[in-house]
Amino acid sequence: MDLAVKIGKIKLKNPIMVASGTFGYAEEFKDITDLKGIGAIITKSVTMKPKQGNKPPRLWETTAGLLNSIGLQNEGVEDFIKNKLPFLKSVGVPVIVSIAGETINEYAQLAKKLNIPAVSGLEINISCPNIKTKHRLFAQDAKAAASAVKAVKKNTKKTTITKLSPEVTDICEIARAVEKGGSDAISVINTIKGMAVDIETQKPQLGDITGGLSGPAIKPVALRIVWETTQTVRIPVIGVGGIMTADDAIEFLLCGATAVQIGTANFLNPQAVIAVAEGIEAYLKEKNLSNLKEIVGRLK
Amino acid sequence: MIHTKAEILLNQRIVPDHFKMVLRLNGFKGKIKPGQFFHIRAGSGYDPLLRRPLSLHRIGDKPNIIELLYKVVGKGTQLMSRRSKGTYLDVIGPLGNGFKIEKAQRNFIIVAGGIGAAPLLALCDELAKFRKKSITVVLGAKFASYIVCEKEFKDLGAEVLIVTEDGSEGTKGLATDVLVDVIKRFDLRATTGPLADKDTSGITIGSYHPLVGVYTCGCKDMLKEIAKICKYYKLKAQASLEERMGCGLGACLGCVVNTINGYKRVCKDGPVFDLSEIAF
Repeated sequence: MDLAVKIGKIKLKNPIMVASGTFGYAEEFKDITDLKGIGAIITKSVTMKPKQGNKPPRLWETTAGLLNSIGLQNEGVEDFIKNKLPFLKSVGVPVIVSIAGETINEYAQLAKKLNIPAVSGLEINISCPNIKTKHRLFAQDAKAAASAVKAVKKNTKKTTITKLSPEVTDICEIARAVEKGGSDAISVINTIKGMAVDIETQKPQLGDITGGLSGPAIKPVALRIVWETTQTVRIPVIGVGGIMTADDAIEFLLCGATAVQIGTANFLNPQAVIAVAEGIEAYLKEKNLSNLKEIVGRLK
Repeated sequence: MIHTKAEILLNQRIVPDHFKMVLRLNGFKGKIKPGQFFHIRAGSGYDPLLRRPLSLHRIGDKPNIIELLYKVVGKGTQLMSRRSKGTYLDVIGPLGNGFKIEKAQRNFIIVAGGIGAAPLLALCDELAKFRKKSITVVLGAKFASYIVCEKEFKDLGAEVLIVTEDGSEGTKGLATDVLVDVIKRFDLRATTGPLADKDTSGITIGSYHPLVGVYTCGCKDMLKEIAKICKYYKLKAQASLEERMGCGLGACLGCVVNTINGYKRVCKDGPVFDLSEIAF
C-alpha cells in the first residue's frame, strides 16, 4: 500500500502531519506516541525573539470545539535551534518548522536562520489569530501574504507551506497570491477567531478575551476551503481543521487535499496520527485501491 | 508514563456530588508520586472534547491500582460519574511533578479546600511513614455534607480540624482562619533560632522554618491567602494547582500559571508549585 506523498521537495511516508502548536516539539509526546509513524512534524511556531504568550486562562472548550489563546509562546529561534531541533532531527521524519514574524523582515530573518540541514521545510504562519497587531493579519491581505512568502523564499531553498486564515472575503485570491509569491504549498485552515463568556462573573472565559477555535466544530469550514482552493491553485493544498478520524481525513483527501494535519485530536489521542494512517490504509484496501493518489480530489 | 485502557473497579458516590473511582491501569509498572495526575477521557464523543486531569487520590492494593476522588462540576465529570464498573477509561499518566517532601520537616500542616482533599490524602499516606512527626489536617468544606476523607486522614494518625463556611460542622469560617490558629501553636521563633536558609540537599531556599511544612490544594482565593500567611510566618508551602488542560504533556502551553519566573505549565512544571513562586 503506497501512502507516500511529496510536498515540494519533502517526501512523506504518509500524508499525515501534526499541526503546529498541538504537538510542541515532539519530545513531549515521545513516551506515548510512535513518532516514526508521523508523515511530518510541524513544530510549534518559532519567532525571532522569545515570546511570553497571552494571559491565562488560555483554553476553553466549546461544543465539539476548543478555543485557545496561547499567543505564540516560545523561547525564540536561537533557543529552538539549540534545544529543540536536535531531538526533532533524531526522530527521523521530516521536520517542518512553523515560523511567525511580526514584520516581513522577521520572516526573512527566520528563514535565513533556519536554512540548516536538520530542517526539511518551513510553514509560514501568517494567520495566527491570537496576536495583537495594528494591522490585519498578513493572511488577510493578498499583497502582504505574498510579500511574506517572497521574503522567506529569497532566504531559503527549503520547501515552504503557507498557512492561511479562513477569515477572509475571498480565500482563493489569497491562495493565488501566495502561489504567485512562490509558496510550494498551502495549509488551510488556521483557527477561527471566537470567544466565550462566563455569565456568572460576566467576564470572558479567556484571559485575552478572544481565541482561535479548533476541533470538530470547524471541520466543515476547513473542508469547504480545501475544496475551493484546490480548484484554484496548482500547488498542493494541505487540509487542517477538526480532523479526528481517518474518515475525516479521507473527506479532505477526496476534496483535493494532498496531505492533512492533525491538531486538536492529538490532545484526545496521542496516537491519532497513527490511527488515521491505519484507517486510510484500510479504506484504500476496502475500495481495492493501492495508491493514495487514487482518492485525492476524486470528489464526485 | 503510560497511555492505557484502565478498568473501572469501583465508581461510587461517597457524599453528594463527590465520587470515588478505582482504576486498574493495564500494563503500568512504574511508581506514582503524590501530587501527580492522570489525564482521563471521560467518554468517547466530542462533547466534552478534552481529557480531564485528576490527581492521584490514593494508591490501591497493587501498584497499578489507583483511587481517584472527583466532584461532579461539568460535563466531563458528569460523564465519568455515570460510567459503570467493569467498563474501561482511556487514561494517560502519571503526569506532572508531585509533592516534594522536605526530609527535615516533622510538623506537617495540610490544608484542603473542598475537593482539594483529593491529592492530599495520597500525600498524607507518604507523610504518615515519617517517624516523630505531627500531621494536622485542616479540612474545609462549604457545608457538612461536602466533607470528604475525614476518617481516612484520622486513620493515618492525623489531627483533623473541620471548617465549614456555614458552620454546619466544625468551626464556622474559612480554612485559612484555622490555619493561622494551627501555625500559632508552634513557637516558631523559639524553635527556629536563626531561620534555616538551606534545605536538606543544601540548596538555598530562603529563610524558612525547617521543621514545619504546609501542603495545600483548593480554590485560587484560598491559595492566595495561604501564600500570604505562609510568607508572613516564613513557612514553606506547596500547593497542587488546577487549570484547564489541553495535552497534559507540556506541549500546548494551554494550562500556564503566572509565576515570579514567568508563565509555567501546570501539567509539566507542576501541578505542585512552591506557593511563594505563584504570582497571584
